[in-house]
Amino acid sequence: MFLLTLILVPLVAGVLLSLLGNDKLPSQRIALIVSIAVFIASLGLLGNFGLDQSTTLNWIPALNIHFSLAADGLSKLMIVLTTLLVPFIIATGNSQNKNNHVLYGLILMMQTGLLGVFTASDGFLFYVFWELALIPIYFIAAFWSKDQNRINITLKFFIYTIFGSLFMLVAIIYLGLKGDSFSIEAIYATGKALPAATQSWVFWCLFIAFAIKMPIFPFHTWQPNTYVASSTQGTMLLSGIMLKMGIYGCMRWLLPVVPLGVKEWQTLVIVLCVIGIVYTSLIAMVQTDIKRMTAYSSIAHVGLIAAGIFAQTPEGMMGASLQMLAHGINVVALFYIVALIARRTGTRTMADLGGIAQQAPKFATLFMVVMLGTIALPLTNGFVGEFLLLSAVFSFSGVAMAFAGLTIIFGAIYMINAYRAVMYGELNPISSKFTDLTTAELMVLAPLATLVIVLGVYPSPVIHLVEPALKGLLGV
Amino acid sequence: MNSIILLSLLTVINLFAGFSKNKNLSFILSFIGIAASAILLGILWNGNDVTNILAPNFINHMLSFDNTTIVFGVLLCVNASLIVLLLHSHEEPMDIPAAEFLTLVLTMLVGALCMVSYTNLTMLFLGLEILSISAYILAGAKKRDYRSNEAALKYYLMGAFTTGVFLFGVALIYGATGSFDVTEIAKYAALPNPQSIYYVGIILLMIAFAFKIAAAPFHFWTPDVYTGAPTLVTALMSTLIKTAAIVAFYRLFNTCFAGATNWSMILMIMAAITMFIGNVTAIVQTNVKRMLAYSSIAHSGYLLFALFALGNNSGASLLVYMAGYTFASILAFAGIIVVQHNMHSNDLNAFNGLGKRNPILAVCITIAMLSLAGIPPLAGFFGKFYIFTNALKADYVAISLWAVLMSCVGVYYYLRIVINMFFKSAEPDAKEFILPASYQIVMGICLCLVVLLGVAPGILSGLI
Repeated sequence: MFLLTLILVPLVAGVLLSLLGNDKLPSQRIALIVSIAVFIASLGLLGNFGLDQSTTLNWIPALNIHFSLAADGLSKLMIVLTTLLVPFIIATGNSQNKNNHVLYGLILMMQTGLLGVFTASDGFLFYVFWELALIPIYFIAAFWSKDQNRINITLKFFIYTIFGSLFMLVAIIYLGLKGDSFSIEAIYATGKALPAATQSWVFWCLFIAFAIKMPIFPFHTWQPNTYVASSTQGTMLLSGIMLKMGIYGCMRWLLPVVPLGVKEWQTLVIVLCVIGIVYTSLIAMVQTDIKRMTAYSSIAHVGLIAAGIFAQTPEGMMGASLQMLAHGINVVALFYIVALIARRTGTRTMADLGGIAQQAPKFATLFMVVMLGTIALPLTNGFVGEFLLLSAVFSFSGVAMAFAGLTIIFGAIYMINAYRAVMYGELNPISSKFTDLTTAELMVLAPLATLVIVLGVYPSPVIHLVEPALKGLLGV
Repeated sequence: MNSIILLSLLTVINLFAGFSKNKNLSFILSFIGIAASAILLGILWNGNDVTNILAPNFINHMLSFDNTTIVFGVLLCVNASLIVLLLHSHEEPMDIPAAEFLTLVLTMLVGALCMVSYTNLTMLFLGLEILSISAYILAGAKKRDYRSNEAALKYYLMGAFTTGVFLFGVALIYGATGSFDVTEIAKYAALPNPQSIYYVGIILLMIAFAFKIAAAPFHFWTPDVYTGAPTLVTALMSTLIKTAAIVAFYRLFNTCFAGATNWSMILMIMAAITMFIGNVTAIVQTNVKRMLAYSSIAHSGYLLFALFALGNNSGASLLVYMAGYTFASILAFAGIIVVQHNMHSNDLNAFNGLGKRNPILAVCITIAMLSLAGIPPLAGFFGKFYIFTNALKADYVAISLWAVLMSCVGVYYYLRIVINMFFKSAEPDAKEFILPASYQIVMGICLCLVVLLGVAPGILSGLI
């Protein structure tokens, strides 16, 4: 029941907070306390404390649907990533917003959806949590955004994701019916036994949902606008955690389910990923808006992760796991940095900024660390993962690897360029408004930057955590 | 049977109760009567003994109360009682007195109960007519309103025509089989070479039912009638009439024509067109009632799934779908009535800023819309889930993917109301909306049921 409690606590807290709360309540602080408590509790899963690792309850007996949760190494990594990032995301918010109790309530509710996705071991339950995470983020992204086109942009995002996930629903129902059970073991067994032609369309039904969520080129068109238009916290949730739902979905609900389907479409998917990497990196290079640049860079990074997964090697899966963790931390830190710049100077256009480093040395140092992590410099958290991913892509095809490797070079170019444009150079009137980090802001950014280095120097606990789980997924 | 007798008597008594000075008398009578008839239905549970013709569930080869019938009968009673409650503090002006309105609702319920329990086509015809004629009158309940008159006339003309088609179909089937009894017809259907008039008969019956559940291409009356009729009557039409018609349709095909499978292709095409027309046309509507009319057409398309992919679980999937649809629709229509009363408009823009004026009402409507759109974990999602499950079990993959695509279109227009409520600002002089007590009760019940059936759909699907 530990796992169940862990997952339901944020939901209950979120519902209570949004229904009973009001503007006078210190909602942000309450949500922060709840999320930190959940984080500490989730650490209990990592050690060997005799806490149960799975729960199974009857749900719809007629269709053999169970409310079953299980946490293996990969799930634990994702749980900790989620519970780690949510407190930071909550802490980055404004404590004085109107309707804050609803905002933080929704963030907590979304946490339940995310945790559920990462632990569900019943296909049907997986789908329910998958959608449960979508409703709160839609309102978070749309309601608390100040962008003029927020309504149309978030609507596009919502419809796009629903479109993908409905196809996934069809595939899950089909698999569940064939095997007369929706449990993950049954779905694995049924999927593997299907003829190649059937696996092929089941593959696409599942893949399209995951590809839209990540997003992989050419399903990415909703992403840059949504990231830019959303409120900062919405963007962080979307990029830091929610896109991992797609990657995790590929690893657990696609590769082991339809191996023949994956084999048939492997080349096409990797080619799409590589095209996406190069294409979005090039677009990122010409952006003037730093938030939009970060959004495009995220597509490039995720493209590499997906390519590594579809190479179907142990290195690829390991690299993907490490990179999910690293990308989550880096991208949340980056979007926070972007938000800080925008909040203080009122602009996100890089050309208008410059010389901030003179004004804010602490900020400059931490930004530097995060930026180096993003461009995967050795000894930062981005390095190990990207290295393993590239070696996985190489084992699939040298040419693909050569193009995928461009992400590192291009990434270095646009990130360093952005850093230079914003932080160095002449101090202009706009930038001179920039004051250095307050303690509260430092409390958010410093731990994230520390993690960038710690996980870069010493990634082996993570590797040990996920290794057995990945072996199971690859069937080695 | 007792429940039908009770309700029939009550309609007459209710008319006299209308003379009473006590305004609440006819409400109390109707409410108690509906509750009692639901209980009378409930006590027949599991008492079905087809072999014994004298058993209380099996009446003169005319009606039979098996468990499927009872569950749907109770659903219809709950549906009607919610509408009665809504009428109690109804503020939209109606030109007929409450007692008459209630009498007509009770008559509709009698017709609906006949339609879900018939075992003889004459009984089905009687039920259909009792239901329809009351509905024609109710559609024109605002007799000084031009639109309401239009609705009533259109509904009546088209309905009368369909009745003709229906009777013609029954006559042809009688000509081929020599009986009105469903078991006799089923025996004939199992024979190797039926006469061609038998097939024509089936097609005519299908057309008549497609009209009643508003399936394309026989849906043209729906938007005008739904928009013109008083909103409460629209709610009644899109829930009670639809449930009765689809269950009658299902009974007919499940018992009589279960052996012959050649009609499933026709129904499948009909479902595909219905979902397309309903969903795509709903996108461009700016009147919310009209939009829900098209959404109701779209839902008929999903309901047809239960018919062409007939299986052991079709009844259960129909039940889960209809229950979810009914409660979400009543929730939505109740919200629309409140907005209409305060804003004097059904336009989409009348919902602007509702999230600020009355957050509770806005949340209720949002839940209703999300359920209608089929977002988990709400009741509407499980309805769709069961429907798709049955279709995929019978290997109808292509039409399921089509339905998925169409529900994606549906998400767009349902969400538009949500967007207007939360993301567009109201006019500056906006005052807070007040929810009358009975609306609070009805909306509370519907909200709980929509969420409950979403979290634990097994409680319904396990029944039949």
